[in-house]
Amino acid sequence: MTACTAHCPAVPSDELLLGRFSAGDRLALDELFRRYRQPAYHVAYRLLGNEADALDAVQEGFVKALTHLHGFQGRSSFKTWLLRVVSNAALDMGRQRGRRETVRLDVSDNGDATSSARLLSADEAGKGLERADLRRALDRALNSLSEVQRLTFVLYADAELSYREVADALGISIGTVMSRLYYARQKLRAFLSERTTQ
Amino acid sequence: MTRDRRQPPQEPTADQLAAYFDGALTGPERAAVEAWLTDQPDAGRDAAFADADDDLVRACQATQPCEPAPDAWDAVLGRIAAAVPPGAPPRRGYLGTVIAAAAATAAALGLILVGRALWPAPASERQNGIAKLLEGIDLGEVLAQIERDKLAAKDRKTVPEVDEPEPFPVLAPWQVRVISMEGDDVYVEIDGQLVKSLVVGEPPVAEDVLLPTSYDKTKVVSAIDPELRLDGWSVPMVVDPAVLAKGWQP
Repeated sequence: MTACTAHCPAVPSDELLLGRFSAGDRLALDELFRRYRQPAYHVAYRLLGNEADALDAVQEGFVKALTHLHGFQGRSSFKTWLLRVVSNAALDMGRQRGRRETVRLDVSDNGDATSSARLLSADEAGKGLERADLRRALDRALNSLSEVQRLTFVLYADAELSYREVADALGISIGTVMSRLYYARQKLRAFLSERTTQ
Repeated sequence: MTRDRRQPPQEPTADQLAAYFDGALTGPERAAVEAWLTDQPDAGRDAAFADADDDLVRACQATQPCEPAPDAWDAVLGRIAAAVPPGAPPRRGYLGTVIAAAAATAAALGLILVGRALWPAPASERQNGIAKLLEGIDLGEVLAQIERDKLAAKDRKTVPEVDEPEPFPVLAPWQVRVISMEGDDVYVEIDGQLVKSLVVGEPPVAEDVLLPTSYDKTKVVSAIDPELRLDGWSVPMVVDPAVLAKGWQP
């Protein structure tokens, strides 16, 4: 395999892809979707707790973001705009379906532990269950946060946005992002240490 | 040139601090923030929550879900493409529609004016035409309607285009008595009855509360008790249980 040189085509920017999408290029949509489906899914999954709902939120978020591109206006990146819309869609879905019902905290519901463990070695299955335990604890801890703190933390930790990007995505100042993360972490730590010492 | 070590490093702004932790600062700017963090251990400790090596962040990233199957992704992409076909004109918001309508109207008027300028009608015909146009029209009512439309348009300008605004249904302080709180839940007494409701909101309660949803910048007008605080800065406000019963959640 050869390294990419100046002859390789440059990776098209989001703006270019959006322009091509607006001009009717289906491949541009495919590329945008491939580029951002994973962070969008991670955020939606963390907020909703299961794959089917998370995929619904990703779909709704993409549809809304692409339908209302005029609201984007390039003030932030397409990624932060999309994640804002996806997280709003996930929160709305959570409200409609009753968040406490949709966040399924048992191991078998996360779709990547018990069901897969049969095919794994004992060691791998053990690690998978540890991971599931950790996820369960985190989900419970995150559920103890206010919605704004939870969303801020999820965008930072799960979507791996920078402080600037989280601020852009939520339309708030960087200071507010930092403040929310600070208190979110304090609460998460308190919640988790309380549970582990019990 | 020697640096005056007695002068404490200048406190960085939130933007600078965030840029530092985002790894976006270099050179003197980065050194300045590092000097401040070293000089202010307490502030540094508070700011250290932003450390990229944070164990909570690592835990989140370690427990991210498995990727959905390729056919599940394909199905989602197919539904997106069906809902928003590539090349379809984007939907206009209210403002866009108004601007487009105004542009079309202006263009039509322009054409009429140009036509009138090039081929003017006789004065008597012009007067008759205006009289016919005004026939049966209550000008007072027209002007009143224009004012009403202006006010309505002014109201609509504050409405987000994507999300529908909803009221922020909280009970006034005198309507409830807090019994106990647990996480987001609060047990309150309303009219002598113990009910479970939800706590929403964060300070400052006297100003706009920023929520990352359609409730953005909603003015919070009431809190149960400004002195009653959860850990941190949460100030409890109780959502009307009647609203909760309809499925609303903050």
